[in-house]
Amino acid sequence: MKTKETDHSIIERILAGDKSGYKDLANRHKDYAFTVAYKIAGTREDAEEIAQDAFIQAFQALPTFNQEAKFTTWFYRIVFNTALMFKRKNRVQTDDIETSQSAQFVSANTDNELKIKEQRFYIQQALNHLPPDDVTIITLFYLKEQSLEEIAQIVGISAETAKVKLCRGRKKLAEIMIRILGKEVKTLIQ
Amino acid sequence: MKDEDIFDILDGIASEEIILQHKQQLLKNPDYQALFKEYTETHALLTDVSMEKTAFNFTDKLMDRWEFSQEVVAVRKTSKLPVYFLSIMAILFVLLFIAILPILNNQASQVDISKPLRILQDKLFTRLFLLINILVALFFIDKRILKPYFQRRMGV
Repeated sequence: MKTKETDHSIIERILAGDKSGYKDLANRHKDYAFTVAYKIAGTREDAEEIAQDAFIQAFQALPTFNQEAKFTTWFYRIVFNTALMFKRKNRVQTDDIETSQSAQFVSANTDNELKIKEQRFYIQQALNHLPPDDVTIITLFYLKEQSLEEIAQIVGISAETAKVKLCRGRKKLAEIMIRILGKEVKTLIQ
Repeated sequence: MKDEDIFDILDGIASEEIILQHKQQLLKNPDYQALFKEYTETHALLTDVSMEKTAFNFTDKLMDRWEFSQEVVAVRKTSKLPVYFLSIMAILFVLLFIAILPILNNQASQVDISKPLRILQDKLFTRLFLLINILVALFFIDKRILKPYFQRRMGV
């Protein structure tokens, strides 16, 4: 069954000439790639462009991919680097993000939906104040699909440095959240 | 207690010793209580953050882009225009050399190039030469500029 297929067997199919493998690979990793890109870029439009560019780069480099390595670590490194390049090229205006995202609250139907949207909004706002590598480390860590060693490989640093950066990033994030929301942080998580 | 230790507690990877210290600090140190609460709240918010969903047509758009990039690469790879041009030039050079060789043999001391010059000055030859050059130029413009432009415009 295709759903139980590993990344490596999909890659083998692609290298053997099966073009449907590209679609399978994209469907499998698109949300994760998009989430990482979104946390770094701050807007859905930019995140989609970054994720698409990352997939194209990965597809082109598939013949050179080391089959003994973990595909996701290799691929998320491409996503991280693409997002980094994108950020350097297009300096994102934080004010624009705040305006466009605050409009999302209007479309929330229930209190719970509103709370989730609020949470996402403020977390994203706080993340926008952190450097891209800290954002990536925190995002990957809380998505819980990669070990700290793999996260370190993705960002291109040692595991020890990744742990220190994760700690500092979360500390800074806590400070920013307090600065943005004051004592409302507690009400946001209740 | 260090910040790193507090996050280890939140991540559930702290040692027994650290957990014991943490419990003691929680009981007697109000500053530590405030700091731990602050980190716990941020940790809870981050834990709640879920995976973002892409647009519904993400994969289709990606596949279109991928196929288009593949076609461009294929066109580039199969373009053998320079090879054809060099082959024709090499054949013409060899033919010219073969044609001139008997003349050189007959007039070893003095080379008469008036005959080949007369051919080059011929009006018909000049027109034919110009026509071939124009055709080659048009073919090149069509393949390298017009075709990729219209393909991109039509979204093929």
